Amino acid sequence: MKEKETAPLWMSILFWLWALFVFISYVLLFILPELGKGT
Amino acid sequence: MTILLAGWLFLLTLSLGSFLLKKAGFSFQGSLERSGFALCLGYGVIGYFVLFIGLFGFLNLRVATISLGCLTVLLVREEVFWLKWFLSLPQRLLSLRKEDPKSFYFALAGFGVLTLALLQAFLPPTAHDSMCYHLYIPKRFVATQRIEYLPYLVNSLFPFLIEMHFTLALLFGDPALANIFHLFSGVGLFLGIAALGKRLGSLWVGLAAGLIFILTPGIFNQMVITYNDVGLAFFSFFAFYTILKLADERAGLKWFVLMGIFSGFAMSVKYLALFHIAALLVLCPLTLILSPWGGEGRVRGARNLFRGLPIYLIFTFLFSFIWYLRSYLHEGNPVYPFFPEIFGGTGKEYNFDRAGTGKGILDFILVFWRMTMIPQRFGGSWAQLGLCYLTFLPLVFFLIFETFSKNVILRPMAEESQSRSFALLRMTVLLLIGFSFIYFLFWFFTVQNLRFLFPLLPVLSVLIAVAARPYWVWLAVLLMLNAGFAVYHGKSGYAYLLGREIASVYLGREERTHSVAQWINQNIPEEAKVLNVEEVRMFYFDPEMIREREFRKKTRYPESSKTPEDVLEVLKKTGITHILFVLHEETDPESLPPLAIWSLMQDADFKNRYLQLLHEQSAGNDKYEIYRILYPSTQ
Repeated sequence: MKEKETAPLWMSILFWLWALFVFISYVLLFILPELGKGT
Repeated sequence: MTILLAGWLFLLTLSLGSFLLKKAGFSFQGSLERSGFALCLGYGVIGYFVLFIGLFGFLNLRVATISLGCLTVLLVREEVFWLKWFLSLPQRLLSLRKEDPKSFYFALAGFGVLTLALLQAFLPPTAHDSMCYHLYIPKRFVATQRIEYLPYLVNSLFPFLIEMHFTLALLFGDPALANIFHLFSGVGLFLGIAALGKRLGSLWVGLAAGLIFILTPGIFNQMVITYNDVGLAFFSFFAFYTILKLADERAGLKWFVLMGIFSGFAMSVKYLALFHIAALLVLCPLTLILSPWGGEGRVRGARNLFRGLPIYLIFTFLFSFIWYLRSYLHEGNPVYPFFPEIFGGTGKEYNFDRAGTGKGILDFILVFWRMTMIPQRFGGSWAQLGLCYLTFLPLVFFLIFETFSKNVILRPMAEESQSRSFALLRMTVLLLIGFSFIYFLFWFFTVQNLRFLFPLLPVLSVLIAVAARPYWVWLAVLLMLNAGFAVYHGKSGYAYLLGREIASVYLGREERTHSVAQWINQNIPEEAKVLNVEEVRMFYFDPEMIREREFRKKTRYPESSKTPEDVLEVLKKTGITHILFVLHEETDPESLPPLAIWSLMQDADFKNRYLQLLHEQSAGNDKYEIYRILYPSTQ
């Protein structure tokens, strides 16, 4: 069954901004410090 | 051998549950849904089977093998059915490739992740709490062939249903099998979540939610070791699933019985199961309000609920009371060692603030952010949630508005599904949100430890998958990141798993007690009793280890003794023959009374007169010494 892309533009813009912000924060605040611990 | 035993017991557990459900007349929407419920029921029943043979002193390999063997013969028809079902999965998967390629790839990924988990489950256990009690206590049960109270280990009166499976694994002499038994609950959850997604009208939602759940780093890391939080999530999820069936299908009273049994199993795993019961009790009346059925249906539902809720509570009690009774009979406290200020006796007050960042309004708003970014503050980065939940959480909030207003996500989903109306879908989503919110509130205001949030995650992962439908590509990217964590998690064990390293080399590197335990097991008789001052990781020691800290708390020997000889008399009466002394860097002698063993061992004269040093060795920053006690009359 083919599922439709349903989100309107305003929602997609907000989502992508949020997703990017969360991803970068995660890399800076969690992943890099954890990798630092390992070395 | 391990894989054969695991395969046999998996099939038996599934078939036993399936047989019982069939006999009781429960019906399901397809084999996927049936498989989850059956595995959950069978898992609990097998756990109770081990408990009962243990309580009556028949905990030995012969009784277990004969009983389970007979059960296997009796359930042969069910076993053949499920074996055929599993063998037909690759064929079904291939047919999915053409009609629903997205689901095909997610299903394939699910299979890959579970295979990786199975591989990592073959590692010899080294997890901290497993060494302290999840495995050590089952090992003592097996050694004494009965399930008994170990008075100098506070954990031995905990509800231990998952540990009954570990006991069974140790009966077969295979600690890796214990890891795999915990993994069964992860597999059951994957099947159940997938079935729930399918129920919502989209197999992809189910498979994506299942993947979100099993690839949550905390879940993956824990389901391959001998802890019990994924087991708790397993039982509480199916108790919740039962409420969906009740609300959705206007099912009869017997579903309240099943829900009670699952909640009873959950209460047999951890006290924290109370959270999900509270959430279900709130949700049950809500199903009437949310139900899409008309007036007559509501009246029937209300009547059912009025009769069903007491039945639910009775069965929850019946399927869990034995653990609490056991604790009450031994210590006068049904939840020993917690809440001694209410129940009296020895124990420890539970510190509700030992994890987390606070319980204020700002803490509440920021908690998901903090759990994701600084999981160390919530019980450790090994139990982290990963990025999927935080990223899609705003869309889950959006889903709440979706259920009342213009529909961007839910209505198209209902339109695509032939089997579900929008009203039913809306009710199910609201129940998922309700359960998540209530459980989360309990968690937030009690112990903010990530592990204790696990029972919420199967439900939340379904919501996340529903919300993430329009952005499934980003979801797939985040899942791949989590898969990277899963592969990385096993990094220290791949040499062993690939046969390039033997177990003793792996353990020598990963388990600090391994070499001292080997020395003790080879040089001290198994029937000896060792006063352990103070190594908490005890699984690899064969003789009984008595933790000095708990022995002191229980007997109060430093206070009741006037001389070192009085102390020795107490040890002799308990049958203690040896002392394992560990000099940890962090040991604080200042806080110990002068007649505590640790203090006495600082006295050279005491050591010369009453202790014979048998062996000493270093392990990392710690130094181990093993002594034989020379009691005054035996000198």
